[in-house]
Amino acid sequence: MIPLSHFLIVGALLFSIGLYTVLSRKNAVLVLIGIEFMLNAAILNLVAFGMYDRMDNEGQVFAIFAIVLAAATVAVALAIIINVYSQYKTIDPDKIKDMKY
Amino acid sequence: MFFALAALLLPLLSFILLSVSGKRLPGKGDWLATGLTGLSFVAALLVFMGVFQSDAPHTSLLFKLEWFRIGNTTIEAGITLDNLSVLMLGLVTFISLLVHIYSMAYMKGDPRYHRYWPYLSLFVFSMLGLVLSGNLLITYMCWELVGVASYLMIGFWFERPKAALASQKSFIINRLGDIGFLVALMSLFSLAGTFDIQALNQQIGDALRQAAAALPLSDTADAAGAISGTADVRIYIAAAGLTLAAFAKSAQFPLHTWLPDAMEGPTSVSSLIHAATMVAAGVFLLARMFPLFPGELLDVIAVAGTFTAFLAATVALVQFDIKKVLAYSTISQLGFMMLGIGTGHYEAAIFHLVTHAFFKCLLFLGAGAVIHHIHEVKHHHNLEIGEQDMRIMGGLRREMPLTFWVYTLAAAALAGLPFFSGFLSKEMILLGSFGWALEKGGFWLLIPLSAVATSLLTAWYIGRQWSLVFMGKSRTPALAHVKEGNLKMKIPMAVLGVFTLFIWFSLNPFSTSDIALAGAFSANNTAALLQGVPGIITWGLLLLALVGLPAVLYTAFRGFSMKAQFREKESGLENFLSRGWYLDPVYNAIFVRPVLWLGNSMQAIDKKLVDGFLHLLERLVRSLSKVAAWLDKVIVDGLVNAIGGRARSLGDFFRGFQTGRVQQYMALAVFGLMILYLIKIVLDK
Repeated sequence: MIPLSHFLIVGALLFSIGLYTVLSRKNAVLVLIGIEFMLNAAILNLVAFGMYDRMDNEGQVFAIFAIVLAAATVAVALAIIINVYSQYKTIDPDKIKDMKY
Repeated sequence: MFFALAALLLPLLSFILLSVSGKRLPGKGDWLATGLTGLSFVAALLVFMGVFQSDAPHTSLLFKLEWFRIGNTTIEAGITLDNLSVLMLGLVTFISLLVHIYSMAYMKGDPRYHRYWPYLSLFVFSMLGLVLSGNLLITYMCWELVGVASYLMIGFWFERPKAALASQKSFIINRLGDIGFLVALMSLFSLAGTFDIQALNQQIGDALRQAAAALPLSDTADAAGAISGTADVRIYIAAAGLTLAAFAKSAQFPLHTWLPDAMEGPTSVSSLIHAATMVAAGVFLLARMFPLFPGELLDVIAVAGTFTAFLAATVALVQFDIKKVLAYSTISQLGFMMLGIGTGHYEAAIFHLVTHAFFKCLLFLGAGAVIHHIHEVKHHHNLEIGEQDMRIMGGLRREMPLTFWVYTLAAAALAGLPFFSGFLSKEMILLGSFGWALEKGGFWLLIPLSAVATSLLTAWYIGRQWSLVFMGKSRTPALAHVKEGNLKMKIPMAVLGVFTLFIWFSLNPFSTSDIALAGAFSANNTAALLQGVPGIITWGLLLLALVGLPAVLYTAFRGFSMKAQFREKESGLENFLSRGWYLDPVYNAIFVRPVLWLGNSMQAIDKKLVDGFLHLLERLVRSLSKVAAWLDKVIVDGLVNAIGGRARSLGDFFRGFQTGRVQQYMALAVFGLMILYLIKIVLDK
């Protein structure tokens, strides 16, 4: 059996990669992908922890909820991105500065 | 009684109605003013018929109402009807009526026609009040009203600077006299405790006669001692004050300089002022209060009157303004009246006042007719001529026959020719003054003699004017087509012309001894007073009037009717005379300029000293407030601003984090979270 720490290391790596992607990409869609990375890292962790709950499989259930939520979130986020694009003719988050104040 | 009130109040009614609605009335209210004055004249005539008695010294009919009460003193407002007041009542209303009728034509087309009538009504009302009042306080009020009315009328054409100045001058000089009246009022009240004219005349007159009887006048040292009692001094002050008032109103030296300037008003108003209202008020006042006057003061009045008469006559000799000649003539004739009063014959003065009112009113109306028509010609032909300058006239007898004839009558009356009214009254004054001077003896004889000389001058200047205006050939060709005025101007002149004749006053044209008008005032019979005059003087004066005056008139006629050219430059003496003996510049130097200087220096003191102190205070307060402002700004505001500034910079610091970039926010959040973890880890250990 693969020890829990391996899952957690993969999850942390995945999270870090996602975080880096979110902070550094110049394309909002890639930022979304970064977010998905991070979400998947969290879901991985949930599933890994879920191995120790044999009775209810709560980890797995949470993971399924999180995946559905993520899908919904991405749908919303894509809609936002399309609207941002129609407003600013760009999807570079660096160039969208109107969130000030 | 009712008629007297009506005569008094009708002009007041006219004044009120016209000043409220004069502009809206048809004809601008001239018919209303004239009509009410006419009614007033009718009422005055009825009163005159009822009261006037030729033989009684004073018939008084009193009508009193309690006016107000101060402490125990009751002031009564009343009407006095005696010979003097009813005579003046009739005279004033009669002359006013004629002037009203005349003005309807004379003032026609004036832009302020509607304002002329209430002024005229006010003038008539105040003069009637002055004449009828039985109370010196009301007399004083009406006296002031006369001054106001004259101010309004002299300055009627106030857009002319000269008229505005003249009205101010007359008002100020008359105020000077009014101060005298006020002083007299106060001292009389402190003496007798009443303003009632009859009571005053009786009480104080009796006291004065007793004092005079007790002291032989020759004994001056004793007299001075006795007079120093306070009561007597107050009589002198009162009499002197009344004299000052009368001299200002009646334009006597040295307060006469306003009257020639007053010619700036409409001629019809000049006529009213000179004949029956303003200048007559002074003589009337002296006659009314005659018993109050101590002998010494009467001497002063006589001397001043004679001097005024002479001075004004000399000035009238060289005037070229048709109205100025008449103005100086009025001053001169008023001087004669003053001489009459000063010599104790106030009945002669009043008699002269009456005759003078008729012929001087006529002279002014005639002059007004001439001016009026020359004015029209001037506008018609666009001529550059002075419409009142006698040098441009001449030969007007053909164009204006009626004016010429009535003017001749009035001029003859003024000159004092026999068969005219002026002869009788002037003769009376001269005879009276001779009697008075003979009684005193010595240098006093100079007074009547100079009065005789003045009457010769009178004949000269009026002859000169008459010749310059009416005789010879016209000096301005355009004036050959002058037309005489309409009936409204002709009728009053014709009526007045009738009254210049002797027959209205005395049946005997040469004798002044049986004149009803004069005998009605004085307790002393005029004839008895005149008995002191030796026959040679009586006959001499008559001879002078019969031969001397016509000779002077003829010389003047010869001298001026032929003369077509006038010298450009006047000789020194002519200059001196035509400028009125340079009295105006002298007054300017003595009174006006010092007063102005005083005013200016007061202003300087006010500016430098008072304002300086204020400025100092102001500077002090200002610097104090500057300190306060500094404290407020630096300390109080500084504290507040400092706190605000800190808050702001803190806000600015935090605002710096808000860049609007999503990724930056997120990075910050992550780093913040990491820092929190680090802190937690450190704390846990």
